[in-house]
Amino acid sequence: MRVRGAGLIASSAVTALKIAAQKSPAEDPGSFMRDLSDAARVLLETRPTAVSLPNGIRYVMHRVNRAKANATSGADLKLVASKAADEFVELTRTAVERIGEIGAKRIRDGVVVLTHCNSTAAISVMTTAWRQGKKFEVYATETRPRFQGRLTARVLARLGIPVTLILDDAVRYFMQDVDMVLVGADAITANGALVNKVGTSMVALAAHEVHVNVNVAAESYKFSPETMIGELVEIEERDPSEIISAKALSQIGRRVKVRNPSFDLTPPEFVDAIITERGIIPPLGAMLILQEVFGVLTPEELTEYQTYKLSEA
Amino acid sequence: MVHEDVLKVVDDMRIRQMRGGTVVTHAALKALRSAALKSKATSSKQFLAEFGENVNYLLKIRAASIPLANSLRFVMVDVRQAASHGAFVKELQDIVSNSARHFDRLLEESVREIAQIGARRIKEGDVIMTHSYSSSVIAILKKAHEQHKGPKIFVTETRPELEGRDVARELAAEGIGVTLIIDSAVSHFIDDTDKVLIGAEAVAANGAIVNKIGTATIAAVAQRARVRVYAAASTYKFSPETMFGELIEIEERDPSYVLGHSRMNKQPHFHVRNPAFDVTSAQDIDLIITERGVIPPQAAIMIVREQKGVSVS
Repeated sequence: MRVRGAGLIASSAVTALKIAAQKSPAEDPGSFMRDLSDAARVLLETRPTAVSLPNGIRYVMHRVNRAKANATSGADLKLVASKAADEFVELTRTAVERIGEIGAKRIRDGVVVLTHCNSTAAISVMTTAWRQGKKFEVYATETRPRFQGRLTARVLARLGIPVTLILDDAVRYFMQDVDMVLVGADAITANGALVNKVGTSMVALAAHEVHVNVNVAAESYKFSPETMIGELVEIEERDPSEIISAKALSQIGRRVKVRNPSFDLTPPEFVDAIITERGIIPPLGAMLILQEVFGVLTPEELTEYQTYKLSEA
Repeated sequence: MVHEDVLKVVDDMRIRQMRGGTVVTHAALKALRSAALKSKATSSKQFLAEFGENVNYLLKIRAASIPLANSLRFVMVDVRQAASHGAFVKELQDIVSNSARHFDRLLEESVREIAQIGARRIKEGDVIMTHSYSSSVIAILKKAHEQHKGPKIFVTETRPELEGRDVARELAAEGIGVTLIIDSAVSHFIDDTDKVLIGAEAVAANGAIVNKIGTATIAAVAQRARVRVYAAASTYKFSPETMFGELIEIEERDPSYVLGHSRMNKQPHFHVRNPAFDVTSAQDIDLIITERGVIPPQAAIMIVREQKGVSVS
């Protein structure tokens, strides 16, 4: 599952970085930094994936860089690196649960919630609210091309939550019956725009037109610092076979193209609230999260990690 | 007793999933003609009763099909008029046959005329996005292609019945450049689009368009991106009922088209909804291309008033 994968992949990478740090034989700070940076670079290159992996690496490297000035030995920095790695892993373990607790407060009795795709964080909000005894119902979009919305519907229905499965096309039709939209996030940009499963921006637009609030459940490691210096998030295009089999496509026409972008971009003006494990912020507060988690990153620190391609795990 | 030819065509409509209101109307008229010619009625009264039953059956099953209703009304007016002048069964049979053929021709001519008028609106190299299956839209695009304007088309697959694939096939067969996308990807590609061109199941007196579910969302996305939305509809799609305040009924189709026969359907609080159409308000439509010319949606009332068989007083 993509979203659960994002946290796991990041924490695995950070754990690997920690091991690299502990194994480094370097005794002076400079050599240690070199070893650590090399390891970081390798990890960043292994698998272009959700923002969480680079963010995890960045979380550790930023704290180590900050400690560099005062460090007298490699061992000092080793300690900082280990501690930062542990913190980040703990963060990935608890963020979704914490988001559930905070977000559940936004679900009132009797509301109709509309959700898109299959987000662990968004589901956490709904299941937490349900376990607290709140009564509400959910519209889940099927979410082409891989019908991930069916997974969401199944999870919620199993708990006893009333769920209605609808076509992605039907969001505008049903939006008049909806009280709030709740989705997850693949990434949040520095200006508070949302990168999420394709179709999300259409859900948000439909919601906006009838004054329905759009709530985004996003762990802090989904926030993307790259956009602070104008880097664009590149949107992955996946295999056309997710949309149509090669055989069916050949029956339609040899020169028919198929395009399968996995995400789209929802502008900040269509996002009403972002629920993070650190609290609820408006989209324009994305910078606060970025500063809190990564501090004031220098452009050099950012470019060191390169622009990566956002893709599904 | 509804004639077997009529029963069969309605079954065909359901099972073979006929694409588009124009196609459905052709098929219904053919069945009505054949039923009339095969009638074993011995008096004109009996013939009229049979005829009435066939018409009512067609209307009941495809209540949402305005061109079908208009075509039946067209034939009904001719038949009633002849009957009131004392026509015999043989003459009534001829009337049904000729009247139905006449309407068929008018419908075909209207599509050809729409193609001419609509193609003029397409500029060389235009990138056009379409949704669902519309005979009029396909005719326009083929015409523009014939005129060497080289339009490139984004075709939405159009869940749940995926008639977009039929559109793609027909256009590709003519050598028109086609890119197939999922319905949710409209937002993502709208900035690469010059115009949105859609058909209409029905046009209401206030210029609102009833069309395949998802159309309203696409029109909203296009409006926001300042991309023109053109609707192609012959005047037979215009609905007189709406002039008298009747709401156009939105048909909900078999939910199994959305999810198939899943075990999830057995859960008591799990539902699937499958509205087949939605309503696009006039403000999201820039113009309507009819066989009589291009009109703003606000002028729809003028067309509606002229529908044959409808008394304004």
